[in-house]
Amino acid sequence: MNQMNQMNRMNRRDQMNPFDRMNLSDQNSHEKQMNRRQLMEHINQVSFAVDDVKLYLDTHPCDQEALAYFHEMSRQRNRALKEYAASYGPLTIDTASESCSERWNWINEPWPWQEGGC
Amino acid sequence: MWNYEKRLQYPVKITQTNPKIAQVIISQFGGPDGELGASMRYLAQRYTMPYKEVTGTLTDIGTEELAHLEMVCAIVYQLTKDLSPEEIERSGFAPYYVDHTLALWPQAASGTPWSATTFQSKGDPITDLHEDMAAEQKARTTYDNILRLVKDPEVADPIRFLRQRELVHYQRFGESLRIVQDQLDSKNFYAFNPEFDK
Repeated sequence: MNQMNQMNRMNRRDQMNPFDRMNLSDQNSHEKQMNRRQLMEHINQVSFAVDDVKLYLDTHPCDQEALAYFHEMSRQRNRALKEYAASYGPLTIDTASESCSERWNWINEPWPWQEGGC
Repeated sequence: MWNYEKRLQYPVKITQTNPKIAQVIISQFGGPDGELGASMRYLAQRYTMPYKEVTGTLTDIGTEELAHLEMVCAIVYQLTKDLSPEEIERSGFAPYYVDHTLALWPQAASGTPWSATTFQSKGDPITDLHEDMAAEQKARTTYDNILRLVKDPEVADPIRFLRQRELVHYQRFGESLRIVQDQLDSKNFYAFNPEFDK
């Protein structure tokens, strides 16, 4: 709950977050039940949280609450990226080995600007 | 070192082409206040930046701008996908098409090619951070101008995301400037240049 408060506080401070209607803390460990679109949306949300709090931490490196939020979002992001790679193909080169296949899957899934891409 | 991630920072899913608005939006790829210039500005400035918080900010915002460049390109790509010669002629897209077909090329809405002359890397943290804050506001104004012309919600949605990020980056650069000034002589911030004078 602290993490949600932190997120909300930072949102108010910056008046910026287009994902702010989404409750990130509700999405803890349900990647297995998500379909492809939902899992992608989850990855986008937690990745955005990482992107945003990373910039905040650059100028506030001693904010423990923000640091804890970063660790939690980063953990969720890495787990979701692995899950996505295993089910649908890799989004990052470091999860390319998760999609156990004889083929080089990096080029098979659509690129993000294409239809069916992310 | 950079790694590619095979997704957009915020989704772009445009179902209706519109080459007219694409020619305006392309300015945020290669125009004077576009994402390519933004990324190059911050990534160029960071090497001589003596304060670790600011070096981190320049690196991470410069990296995020590359993701924004990709989103702008995805918007332009989807707005001009599979155009017919008739549509190209009718929409005024022919002058771009004749040189680039439907490929992406960094130019301003006016057709002026992208140029490094649109930004500075001055080697003075106060000077560079003022430029960076101004750059974020100029990009925000450009997105505001684009939003007045865009009617399609599928286009406006990712443009609004990009606009919001300009505000956050402005905030972070403002904090960076404060961090720099906190380490200088408050009686004369300009007594020496911490990127040059030892």
